[in-house]
Amino acid sequence: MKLTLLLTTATASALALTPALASDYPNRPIELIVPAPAGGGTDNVARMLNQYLEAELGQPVAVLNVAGGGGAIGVNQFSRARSDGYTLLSTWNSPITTVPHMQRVQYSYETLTPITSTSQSAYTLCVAPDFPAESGEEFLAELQANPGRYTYGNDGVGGTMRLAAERIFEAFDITARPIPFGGAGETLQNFLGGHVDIYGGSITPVLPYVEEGQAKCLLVTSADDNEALPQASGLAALGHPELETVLWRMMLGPEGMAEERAEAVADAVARAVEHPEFQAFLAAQGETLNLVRGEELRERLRLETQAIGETLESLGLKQQ
Amino acid sequence: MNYRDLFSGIAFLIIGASTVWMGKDFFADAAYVPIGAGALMGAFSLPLIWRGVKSILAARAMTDSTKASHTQAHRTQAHAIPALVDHPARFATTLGCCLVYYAAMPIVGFYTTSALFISLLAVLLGERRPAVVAGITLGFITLLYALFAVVLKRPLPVEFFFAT
Amino acid sequence: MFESLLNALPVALQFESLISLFVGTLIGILIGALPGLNPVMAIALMLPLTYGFDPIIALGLVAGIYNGSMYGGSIPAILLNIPGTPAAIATTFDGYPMTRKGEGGLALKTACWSSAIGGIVSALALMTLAPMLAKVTLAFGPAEYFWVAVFGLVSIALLVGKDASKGMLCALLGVIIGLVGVDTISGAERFTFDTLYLVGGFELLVVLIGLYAVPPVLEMAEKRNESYFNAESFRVSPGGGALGLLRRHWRTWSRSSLIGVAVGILPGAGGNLAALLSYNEAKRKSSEPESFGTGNPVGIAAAESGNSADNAAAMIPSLTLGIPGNLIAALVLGALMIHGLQPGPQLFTRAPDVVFGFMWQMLLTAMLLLLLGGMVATRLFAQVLRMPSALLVPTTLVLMAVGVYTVNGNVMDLYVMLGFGLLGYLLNRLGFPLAPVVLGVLLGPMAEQNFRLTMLIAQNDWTVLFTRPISLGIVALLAAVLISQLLKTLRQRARSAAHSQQR
Repeated sequence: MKLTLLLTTATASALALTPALASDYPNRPIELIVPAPAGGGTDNVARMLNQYLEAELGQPVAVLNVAGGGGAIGVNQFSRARSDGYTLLSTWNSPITTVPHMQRVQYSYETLTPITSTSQSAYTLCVAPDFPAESGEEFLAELQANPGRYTYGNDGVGGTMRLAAERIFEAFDITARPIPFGGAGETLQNFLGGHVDIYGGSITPVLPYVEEGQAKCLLVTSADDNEALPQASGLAALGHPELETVLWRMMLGPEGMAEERAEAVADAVARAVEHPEFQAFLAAQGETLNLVRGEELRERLRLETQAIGETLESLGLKQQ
Repeated sequence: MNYRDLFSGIAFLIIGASTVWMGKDFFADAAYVPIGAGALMGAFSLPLIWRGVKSILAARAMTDSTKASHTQAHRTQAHAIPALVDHPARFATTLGCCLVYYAAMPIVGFYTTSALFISLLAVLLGERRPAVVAGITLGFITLLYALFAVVLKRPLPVEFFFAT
Repeated sequence: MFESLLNALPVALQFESLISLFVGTLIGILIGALPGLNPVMAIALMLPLTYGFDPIIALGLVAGIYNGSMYGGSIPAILLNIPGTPAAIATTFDGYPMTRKGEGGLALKTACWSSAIGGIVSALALMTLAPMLAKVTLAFGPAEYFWVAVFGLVSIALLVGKDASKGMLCALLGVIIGLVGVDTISGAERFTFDTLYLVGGFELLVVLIGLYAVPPVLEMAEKRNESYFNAESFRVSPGGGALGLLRRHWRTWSRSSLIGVAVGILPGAGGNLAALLSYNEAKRKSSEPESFGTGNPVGIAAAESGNSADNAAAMIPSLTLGIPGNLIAALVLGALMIHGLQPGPQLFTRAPDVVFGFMWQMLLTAMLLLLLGGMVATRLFAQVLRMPSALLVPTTLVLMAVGVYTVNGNVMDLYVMLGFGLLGYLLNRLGFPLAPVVLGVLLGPMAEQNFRLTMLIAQNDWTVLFTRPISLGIVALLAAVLISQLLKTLRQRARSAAHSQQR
């Protein structure tokens, strides 16, 4: 009994001492939660970055994939972790800014510690080669003329892709029928097989089919056009740059993580992304670097959460 | 006398009914399968309940009457049914140790708790050779450590004496 | 295409490739044999180590781990009734009874050969038919997926044994367990009782280990001093060489391998479905179906060749279309991308040596199983059963705990596993079969989601379920299976009625 007491005191005092030893950080392996399945886009980017991050931090970083619930499962679990900086989160924006409007979650952009954003890319809408439209404008006009006729595959109800599409459709007074699939791969399979009319998802999986002439991508959900998809119009070209909804990635810490440690990780990320191999990898994925740190990152999350909340409300998709 | 069919039938009927009851509030097409599965479960539980009631009634009738041959047949059948729990003490010990193990693991750390759990449960289940218990426990924990911490680097609950 | 295939053979046979195949297969068997450590995790951990090398080395490791783990999963399934991987679930049906009867050595040997054969057939399909089979993949839309799931669910009728109502109740229980969590189509929560834990639904591996592996451990604890296993099981080497096995199982092997390949080309269906369907078919075709589940080696042959034949075939949609068939295929695509190779239809022309080399590697590693599999299994793992059962119980429980914990890193999963363990124990004792529960959990959600997707696409016009040619084909097959089974039952009933009249 006495021994336990002694040990407890020792542990407690060790805990109390930690902030003073912040310069030691990190001195043991770090666990990185990725709220998406192994092998997906988020996972690939996280693991690729991880290689260089390990070197910069001087400690191994173990990736733990906790998939499900549109990313909410992993982030929920992460939000219960100790805030000592040895558990970090590598996520894309949807679980933080979209999912909390649709499901009960244990976290919000206010509680999690913002570290840094890393990269971003747009979503795209593509159709089969025989679709009667050759440009973004014609595409929207065709959809306008035939309300409820076309189906578009997307990443699911809580996903940012569907939201990005619905924001555009609402502005152009379009009704298309969303078909929620499990991810871009499944959407692509059903699009290529002709089971849905429109592919909605990230750019990378569909790129080879654009080259082959089996798909034509007519719209990207960023304000700017995309170099990889010359036929697609950006939203600025269509007169609605404010409708931009992109996919972006970030690293976050649990609530109450010490600022020095968050800074240390953000610095390491900033150095890690400088590696030319990583930048070449991002370019091949159609992603661009985008580093926003600390409170600025929180502000970005706040603005996006609000904007998405309003869109969801006007679409009648908000659950609470 | 066998009440098992009756009771398990009733349990399934309750699960089925509550699934339907909860499922009817789900939105449109999200409700189809819960209601269908619940209703089917209720339907399939009825033959089980019926069989249970019949066997109980038959057993009642049997004890009243004096048809020896039938009683004989029924007795052998009753003997064939296995007990629900063979050895309640060991069953409960194992379960109890598991619960304590799971509760302690995140606080004390994975390797310490596992070592204590293995040796304690082994002793409680009747292994009385200290060398065997200690040897296998140590060997097994070393193996796990080598695999998870050294080779795979999987994060497991951190030992209390390492936590910062 | 065949020229490129031949050109790639030396690539796969170079020294570094062979080493990576060897190491990969060995790691794969070990990973598969430890419940909870899954090949996805192992490959995800190993791949970054190979980024500096030629892609063929990384792919060799993947091929080895992939095929090795599929066989490795059968080892604890046979020895301890713990499915090492979810796909090994059908292997427990007959594998564990064989171990308890003292035929564990034969069971492991059958599993090893069956895995190798399944893997070889699958690799050959990948090498020769990939582009053609990829077209089949695309023809399968939600309506067809729905019928595949229904096909699997209906075969429950063949798994249940004598008591149909108990079997159906268990299958429905499985379907209801599978419903828990956020519904992916409407985004609404179902049966979560306002607890956050249930929002994501139950993890498949946690349910499987709970239902299947906990009850035998509890039984072992209750019986500690009585001999639980037949210790002689592994001392005598099983009689009948490879030829004997071939003569006995070639029908099962060819049938199950075909089923495995067919399931493999459908992204998302998975090795566990392949194994269960193969098992059902073997049982249905058998002249003594009642011996299945009591230790019939044909059951192991069917399950293991089925799940291994899923492996290489699951690579077909990912290599030819860029659509990953499962998580491992997704990791392979990720690895290719990191090496600057964009997955998709151009992969075959742009990097033929890599793609075809990988196909050869899948074939070679399936063959390596024969060399490594039997050795590792019997020399190493079978020794576990010699442990005194008072120690085997706690060590097995620790192994299950670590396995379940590493899936999601969540302690709550452990309590849930124990809860499902108690449920499985109770169902066992009350005479309810467990296999239908698993089928329900696996196929219930697949059938539901795809049915609702079909209805969304067709705007609630249910005739599309029957008007598309492939759907119609599956429905016809389903009807044929059901009618033949019905006739068989009626004939048996008539025979036994005649029999009792004679008496």
